[in-house]
Amino acid sequence: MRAEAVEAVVQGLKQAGVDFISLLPDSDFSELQRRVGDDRGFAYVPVSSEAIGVGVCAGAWLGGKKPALLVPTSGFLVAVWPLTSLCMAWGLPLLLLIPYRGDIGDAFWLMGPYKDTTEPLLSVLHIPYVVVLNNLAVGWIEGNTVFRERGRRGHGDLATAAFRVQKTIERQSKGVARCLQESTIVSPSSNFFKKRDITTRLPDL
Amino acid sequence: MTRHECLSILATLLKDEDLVVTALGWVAGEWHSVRPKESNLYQINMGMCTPLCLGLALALPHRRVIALESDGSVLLYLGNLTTLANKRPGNLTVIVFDNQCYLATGGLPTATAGVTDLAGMARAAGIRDAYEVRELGDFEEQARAALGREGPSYIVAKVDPTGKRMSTNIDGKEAKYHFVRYIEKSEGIRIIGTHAMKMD
Repeated sequence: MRAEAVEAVVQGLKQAGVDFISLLPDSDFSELQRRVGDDRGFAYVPVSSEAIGVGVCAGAWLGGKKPALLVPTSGFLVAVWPLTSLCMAWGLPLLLLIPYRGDIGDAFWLMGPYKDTTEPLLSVLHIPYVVVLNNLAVGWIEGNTVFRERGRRGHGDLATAAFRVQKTIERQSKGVARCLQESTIVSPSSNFFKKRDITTRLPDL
Repeated sequence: MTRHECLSILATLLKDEDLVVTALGWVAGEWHSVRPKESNLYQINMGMCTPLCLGLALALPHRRVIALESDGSVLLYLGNLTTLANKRPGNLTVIVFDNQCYLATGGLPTATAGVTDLAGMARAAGIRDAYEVRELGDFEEQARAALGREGPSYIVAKVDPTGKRMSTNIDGKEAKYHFVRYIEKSEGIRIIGTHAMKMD
């Protein structure tokens, strides 16, 4: 995740009034996580399970904070039960930030299933979400009303931003190009080593 | 020693402004019967009571927060012990009523009916003040000490596998509104915003 994108997300969070962040360290968000961990403007609670993070954020909201949970796509699955039984059932608002993984060209073979599960699951749970491209994150987070008006509702209390960060976009375009050259389709079941090779030749964005 | 006996003692040690959150199960109704205050929040889902109290304690560090937990609930997310130990909220006391079974769902044994020692696990996670008690006098002593010192404190109360199915007469959402409005009033803050309808 590039420094500009990290800064854009941080500023968006601050402008939205987010002052409490919980997370489980994730490779896609590692720079963002370090940034919010070092920022005294956020209460910062790293956890050992995303499910625990949901509970911590729920308590923070009850105490007057405006929480956000940074979760990887895999962690979103871990968090689904408390999101359902705590946040949705009780009407406790929470902003989720999820890196967008598993799209065409994503070279890590384990990410494929998460492309298949993340957005459909958000839809099934009736969690409003947007896929944000790079700096548009600022405007979306700033403009969302999750904390201002949704404290009363049950079903619409969660808001989600899935960040398709610049690094992923670059991967995607290069992955597609390679697919076309080789007349093959990169799918989650493709050979792992071939995909890793693609990854290592990409510039570090 | 029964949970209800412990709760009756605990109620006498608390101030009205102390925030108390109960786990799901019969502990909710029992606590409501001995301390029906708007500073209570009841029936937090399995595994979520202590994490929620951690967030609450960090958000309001000047208020005492008490989590009324069960062994089954704690066992669901044991990793939270490590978060609790590292964040060290000085205003949080966790009381685990360990009846060594899943009482509300039929009484099958939990791991603590075997060799598992929750207080020992809490200490190993880094919570210095973690104690197990088996007698009412010891419970009162540890509860009083926990409420009087810089926490976090973790008390595992070994109680009989019995309880009273008592109703709080309110569901979770209703309790949430009472609780949040109480915090808003007592802290002078706004948590749930007003609905403004745009007419144009």
